Amino acid sequence: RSEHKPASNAETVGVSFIDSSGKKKAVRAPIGDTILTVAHANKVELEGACEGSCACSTCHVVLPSHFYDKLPEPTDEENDMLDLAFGLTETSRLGCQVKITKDMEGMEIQLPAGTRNVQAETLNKTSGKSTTKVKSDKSA
Amino acid sequence: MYKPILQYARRNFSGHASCKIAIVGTGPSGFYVGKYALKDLFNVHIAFFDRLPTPFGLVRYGVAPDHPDVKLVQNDFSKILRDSRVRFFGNVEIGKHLSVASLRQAYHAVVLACGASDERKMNIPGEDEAAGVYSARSFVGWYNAHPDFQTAFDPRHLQGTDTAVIIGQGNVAVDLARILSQDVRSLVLTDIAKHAVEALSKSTIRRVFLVGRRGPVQMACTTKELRELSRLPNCSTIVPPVSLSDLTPSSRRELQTSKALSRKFELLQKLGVSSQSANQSSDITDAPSQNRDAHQIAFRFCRAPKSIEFSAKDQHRRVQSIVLAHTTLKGEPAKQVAVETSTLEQIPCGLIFRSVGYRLLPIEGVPFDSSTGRIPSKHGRILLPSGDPDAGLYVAGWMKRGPTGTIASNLPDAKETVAAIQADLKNDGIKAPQSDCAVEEALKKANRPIIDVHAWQQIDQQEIERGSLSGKPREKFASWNELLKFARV
Ligand SMILES: Cc1cc2nc3c(=O)[nH]c(=O)nc-3n(C[C@H](O)[C@H](O)[C@H](O)COP(=O)(O)OP(=O)(O)OC[C@H]3O[C@@H](n4cnc5c(N)ncnc54)[C@H](O)[C@@H]3O)c2cc1C
Ligand code: FES
Repeated sequence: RSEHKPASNAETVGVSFIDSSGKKKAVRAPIGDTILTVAHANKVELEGACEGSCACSTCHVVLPSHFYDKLPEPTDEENDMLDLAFGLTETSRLGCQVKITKDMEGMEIQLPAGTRNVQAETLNKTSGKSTTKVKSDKSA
Repeated sequence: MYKPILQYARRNFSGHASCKIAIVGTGPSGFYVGKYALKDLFNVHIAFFDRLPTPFGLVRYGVAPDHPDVKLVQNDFSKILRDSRVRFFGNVEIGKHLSVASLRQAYHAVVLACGASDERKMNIPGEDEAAGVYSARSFVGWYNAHPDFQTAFDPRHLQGTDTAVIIGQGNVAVDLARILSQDVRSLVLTDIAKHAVEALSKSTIRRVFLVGRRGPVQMACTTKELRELSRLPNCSTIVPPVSLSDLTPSSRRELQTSKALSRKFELLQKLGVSSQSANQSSDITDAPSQNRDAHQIAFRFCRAPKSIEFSAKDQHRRVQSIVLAHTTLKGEPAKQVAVETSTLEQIPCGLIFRSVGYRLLPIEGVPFDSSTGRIPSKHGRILLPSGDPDAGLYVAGWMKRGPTGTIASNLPDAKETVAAIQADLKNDGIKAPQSDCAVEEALKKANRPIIDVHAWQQIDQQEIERGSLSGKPREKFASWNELLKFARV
């Protein structure tokens, strides 16, 4: 519920993050910031191991398809890292490579499902976490 | 005693009023287990152990020096080390200076995250006899200033030949090819070991072969590493023409089921076409270069190492060539194996690296399946021979999944292990520890200087200072002596 306070004169849009258990967090996102920056400014649990240099794929997020379709195509470099992301989907992007724009008002950003997490818990109790459709296998 | 509060905690949090965890190994998997344990477990205290005086595992001693962005994750890990709930015990090898049993007496949960400390061999004639045959692991340890590998590579073997052959086509093999084929001037400002820069600047290697048993579709390196290789300045990447029609039906099916694979294959095809137009023969052995400094890296698919040749008359027994057998692929998609044919190819060379995989080493007191080379486990819980979990004993990272995958693959893996610990604490599946005494006594008896967080920070600071004198991010201490001396313990 703690909303991110934008820099005084930066324009913002409202977006929300949905974690792997389905919990939603609404935040204000300054236009021009990356999704990763916004997540970290709001204590959203999104890793950024390489600090945004497109070298790790830990900042992987899943976007709603109508927002995804409006974005410029990912670069080869981003696609190379996405190929290695865990739980890749048709509308996956790297949070550090996507910048917030005006028309992202209302966008729901899904953190990828921690499938293995669910498995560990089911040894003791079943939990109904959402899983996303996986597009392709991981290589290497 | 404040019993009621303890019981409140027991019911509402993770089953225990407090929880002490020992994490053995401080590579990415150890740190990610620590990170999520600090976040998800109630009143948790963590002790990290590492056999080295330094944390970060393969991020410090594996990741190539020209990949500084990948190493930025050390900043995140350093934050964990500074957490008041965390202690670091460097220079303590579990299974040698301290037993797993004594750790189990002192902690609710013991997590093994020791990575893979050994390597696989080719097992071919000449491998052990010829000089100038190394494992990728030794070479990587040597150029990254790992204190165990200071003398594991003889720098003279970078001279007296222009050709090196690397057996294997994974990311580690590609790292090696890149280090051998780039202008040293682009390495001097990285955290590469000083002794490696000196040796590489005198290197006469100009051609590197990357050899794979199986075909272009099965090649293990990622698209990212392949693309990077193809962009290396003053170096041509030579790929034999690869076309869909040459593939086995199983390989074509493999491509269809993975977008990542087909992207990699497309890049290979592109490189194949450009190597063709640059060099009619698409081969490098008979294409001497006009430019003395120009480098070439050539891929060889469907070739299995057969033997390594050297002259018995040469007192140094220097390797002279490697013999490869052509192979064909047989089997179902994703299960194809390389079957050797009688066609042979001999590549003259003075240096050979095997990069055919890392291997786990067993740890005393921990179940190990020697037929698979793995620690039997399920969802992070180590299993007894009976198949039941060995309560309180967990595993993460390369030690759990085997030696493959990137730093990022250790994330979901660590989350799973932490979820297992959390569930077991909740269900009273873990006994409360007896006392710290066993650990303290054993450490005293081992009589070793313990590197704590403060001592590591001393090393860290001095390495950074030393590096700044020559414009490097750090100059690592390459020997045990120096590391311990500058830790001031
Ligand atoms: C050469 C090389 C290059 C790589 N490059 C990249 C890259 O560019 N990008 C990327 O994403 N991934 C890369 N990887 C993969 C990445 O390094 C691994 O995924 C990751 O390090 C595995 O983490 P780990 O914690 O399981 O093991 P490790 O990182 O190996 O950590 C294990 C730790 O345990 C310690 N240890 C071992 N035995 C004991 C014992 N008995 N007692 C106490 N401590 C012990 C070791 O000293 C070490 O610190 C590379 C791997 C290699 C080998
Ligand atoms: S933070 Fe590493 S790829 Fe985005």
